[in-house]
Amino acid sequence: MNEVVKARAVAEVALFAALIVALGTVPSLYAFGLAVPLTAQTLGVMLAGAVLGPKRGSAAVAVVLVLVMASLPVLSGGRGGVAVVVGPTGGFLLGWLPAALVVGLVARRALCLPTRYRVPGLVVACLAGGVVVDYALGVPWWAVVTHQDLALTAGQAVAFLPGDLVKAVLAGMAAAAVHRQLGQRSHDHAGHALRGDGVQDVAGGEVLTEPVGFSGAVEVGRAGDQQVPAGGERDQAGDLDR
Amino acid sequence: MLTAEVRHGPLRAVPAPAKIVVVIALGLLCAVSSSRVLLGGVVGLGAVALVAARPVWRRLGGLAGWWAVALVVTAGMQLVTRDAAAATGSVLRMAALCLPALAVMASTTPEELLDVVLGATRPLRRAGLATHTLALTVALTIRFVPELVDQAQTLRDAQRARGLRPAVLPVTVPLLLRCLDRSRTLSEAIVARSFFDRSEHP
Repeated sequence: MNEVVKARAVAEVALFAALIVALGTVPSLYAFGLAVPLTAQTLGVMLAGAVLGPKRGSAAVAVVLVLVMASLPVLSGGRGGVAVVVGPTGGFLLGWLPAALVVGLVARRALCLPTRYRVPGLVVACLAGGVVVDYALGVPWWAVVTHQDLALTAGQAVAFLPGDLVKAVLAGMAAAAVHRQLGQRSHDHAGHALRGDGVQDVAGGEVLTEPVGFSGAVEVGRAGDQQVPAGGERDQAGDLDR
Repeated sequence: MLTAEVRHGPLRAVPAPAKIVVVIALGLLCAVSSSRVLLGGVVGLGAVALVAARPVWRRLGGLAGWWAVALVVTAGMQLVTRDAAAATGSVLRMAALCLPALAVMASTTPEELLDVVLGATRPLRRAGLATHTLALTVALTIRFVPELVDQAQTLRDAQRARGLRPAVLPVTVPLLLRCLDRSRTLSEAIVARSFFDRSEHP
């Protein structure tokens, strides 16, 4: 893998892992202006998958889990440590990893849809990963740890659904807004392809085929290099976003 | 963020990897077994270990309180839906999982635990995992958490200054875009320092 792409991957993964942690420290986020506080870390997991893609999104979550295992207070409420992982919510926590992966995979498809279907597509991606996959791991783990009936535990988990549905909608909308902004920026400046199709560095004569998240390639090369999308599809994604 | 007060006690001298292995082994044992004698034994062992660790309660206070609430809620649910025996079993199991882990946390610094976690990934180097890259990523994450917290606060302050109530999207979208911008400059800094050349050919 190209050194620039590797460095970009490390930086994006680190920054989004830090974002997931930072969202846990913001206690008072209110949805739609209502007095409904949300724990924003699941939102961060969905966003990591929807913005960075499956590999880098799940890598960012893996870094957060490493910090949790190291007992750093990186979870909401200043929690962290093995005690949290082995507790009732441990399954939901470990479920973040496949959740980000699935969000990224579905979001990749959603970004290929026509513009008006992108927000619903990204919301579906966040629901598939952040709710279906996370609950599929979290609920059985909860039942095993508390030694409860699985059906009863699933019934209790329904109480979290409204909040998670709101988070999935917000994450889908935020991811769509970010992709739109990135598309506009690349249109204005260099014309990079969205969706990680790869860019061609004309000045260096080198083709970077490795997707740089979904942001494709927000100015991958050195400053001043002229870059065009591989395959000559200049500005296609940027145009679709408008 | 990594600084945490750990008092000297009998458990402090035990190597961190050994403590982690014991906690994982006990956790697996408690997860598969339903013997109350075994669960009670592990609870007792965990309680003794926690006292021996001489915990700084300020550090563990929030987590211990969260566990106490989880125990009470679970016991209440089991009493309502099943019986007292089931409630006792659930409480014992949860306490057996939590107390040894709290004892490890109380007697080990985050740096030591981070070394254990990163050290555990070292054998994966043969499978192609770049462990030095993982270490760099973890270090960068820790470095940027305070900065992002500050940025989120700045964005919320800016909303308040405009007379708006803090909302999710107007904070999250700029924060994400700033993250992506920052990752670009950060990656340029990593390349400028030839990190990958040096780490692959030390």
